[in-house]
Amino acid sequence: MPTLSIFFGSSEISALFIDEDYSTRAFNYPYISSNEGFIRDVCKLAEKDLGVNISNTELLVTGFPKPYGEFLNPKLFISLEKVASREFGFYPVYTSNFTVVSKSGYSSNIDLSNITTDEVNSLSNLVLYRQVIQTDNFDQFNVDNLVRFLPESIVKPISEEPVIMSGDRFSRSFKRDANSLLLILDLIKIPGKYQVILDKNNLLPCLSLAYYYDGRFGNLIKSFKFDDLGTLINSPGGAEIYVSGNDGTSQLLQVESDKIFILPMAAGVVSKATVKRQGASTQEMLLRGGSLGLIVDTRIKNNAKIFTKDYIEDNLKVWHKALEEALCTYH
Amino acid sequence: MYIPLVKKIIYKNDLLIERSLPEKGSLVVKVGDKVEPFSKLGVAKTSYEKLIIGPDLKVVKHKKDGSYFYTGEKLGTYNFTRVIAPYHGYLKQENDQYVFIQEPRDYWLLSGVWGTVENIYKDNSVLLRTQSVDINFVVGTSQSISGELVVFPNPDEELVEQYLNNLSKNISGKVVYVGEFLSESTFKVARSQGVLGIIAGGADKLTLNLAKESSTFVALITGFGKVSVPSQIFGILQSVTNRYVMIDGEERVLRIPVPEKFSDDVIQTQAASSLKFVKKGIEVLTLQKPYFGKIGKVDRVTESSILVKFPEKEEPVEIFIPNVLAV
Repeated sequence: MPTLSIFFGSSEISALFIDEDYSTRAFNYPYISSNEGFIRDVCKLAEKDLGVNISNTELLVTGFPKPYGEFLNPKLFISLEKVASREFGFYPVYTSNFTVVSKSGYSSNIDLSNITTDEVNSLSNLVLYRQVIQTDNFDQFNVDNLVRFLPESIVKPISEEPVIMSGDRFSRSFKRDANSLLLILDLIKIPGKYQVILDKNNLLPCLSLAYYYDGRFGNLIKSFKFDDLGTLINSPGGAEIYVSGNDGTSQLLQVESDKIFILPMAAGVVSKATVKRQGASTQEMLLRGGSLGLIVDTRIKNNAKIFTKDYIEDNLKVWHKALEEALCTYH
Repeated sequence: MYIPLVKKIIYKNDLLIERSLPEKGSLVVKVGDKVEPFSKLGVAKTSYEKLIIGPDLKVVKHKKDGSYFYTGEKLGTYNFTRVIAPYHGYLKQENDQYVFIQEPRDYWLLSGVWGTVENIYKDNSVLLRTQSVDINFVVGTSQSISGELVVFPNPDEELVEQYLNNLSKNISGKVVYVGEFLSESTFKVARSQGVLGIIAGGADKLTLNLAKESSTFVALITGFGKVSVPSQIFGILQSVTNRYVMIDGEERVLRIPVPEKFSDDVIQTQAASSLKFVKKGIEVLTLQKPYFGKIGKVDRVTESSILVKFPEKEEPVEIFIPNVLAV
């Protein structure tokens, strides 16, 4: 029997239909509500768009903190943080306007102090009308600040597992812009080397849910076409990286503290590197390219006393410039 | 593209509303009786007022817990200040402190709605079958209140406080619609005039927090900040000023009783679906700055956005999906 895996996000709905031959079709609806009538009507839209009858599928439902749609009588009805905590061979990070859910835990500790009345109104309207996307960079930056400063313990990937950035924030709100890339880097605070992958269609929750339900869907996640951004090296305080290309060329990168540096490296390219991170011993590493390449982040993100709104605003122009230059080569 | 339809106005027939006496009393209607808003349903003796004095009252000699006092009579002293009875009533001790409770008077329970008596609960309450126009608001405090609605004619902010001060004798205990924006200063003036509740298009979040802290009812129709009120909603409110209304804060609905049942056409044309197909000419509520809360008409539709025409602008404005709802 085919499977239909639905994720009720905090601002949109995404669904993945998996046929019996493992072919897939996706559906996304950019609004959300807990209202039963709304959910039924959106399900009818999904049925029409996907060419399926929900009653003829194994229906799986997830969401956070509690999914909607229990009246649909799904085969599996489970909260996203339980799905995220399972071992899948990758490290998922689901980000919305107000929450971050990862394998390490979840948090939505929103600090509304030290912001203007207009900003409070704007964020309060975002609670009432959760589907709204920001059209102004400054507003997006302010909204991102709600989750940017969550403790580093919420996102604690280990080097061996690729980090997949997913969730409503990186779906419709993602516009190949510096703010979105900055948030991705800001959420991964712990020093180390990580392969960073972006889910622009908010389908990882659906895929993970299907795999959680039935292990035979494991290969689907591995083969799914996410956007591999490249390798991120978090090295607060500075880094020296000696990159050896397969063509025999080599490059020494010296990145000072508080910087973001991006070296274009195409997807599929693998280079050897010797990396000297501040306060760590020299390591040999393999760097994998991606749509951005090698990202070296020497900002002090792992110190909550330093990594503050003021710290970011003081350096934002410089960091945005580095990201915007990289976006020119972003595919 | 289908977008959610905001059902701000709902017409309802065969609505059942319970009207209750504050204490056990006697009911004067029977099942099947037709009623109007000022029809009397029943009567009970109740105290309208209660004054909380405190634990350290030095009661006058020869008086004690349970004693009766006339208006103007000295109750005692509190922190060396004379305490005078503001009305006829009884001095009592509750939870280790003194309270002065007004002498019970007749409380006549009025219907508040047009309809028929559906059922009676002996000495206590009446179930009425009626019809209403319900207006959904998007956020507010959680109390349930009922009272006479006073609608200001969508004035400029500066005039609202003048209206409140000029009408001060006539708005105490009533629900007031103050226009598209409730400012903090207007809220404070309204509260000082003793209004029962305030309805507006929008207000600052901080003003709503003040309302919650002071247990004053506030309902916002559109959202936070300076937003618009759909003209259909203002039209309905304007047409029912001085009507007795009921508000359920938890359900976020303002219920306006109406005299006649709605025809089947009206009930059936209310959209069954919660989604509406976007096409030229439909009205939409915009949620994108700087047009947040404004209502416009769809001029053109593209794949990811809608061009919306607002009455005050010549050229249509691009609004991105999902920053728009159908109304």
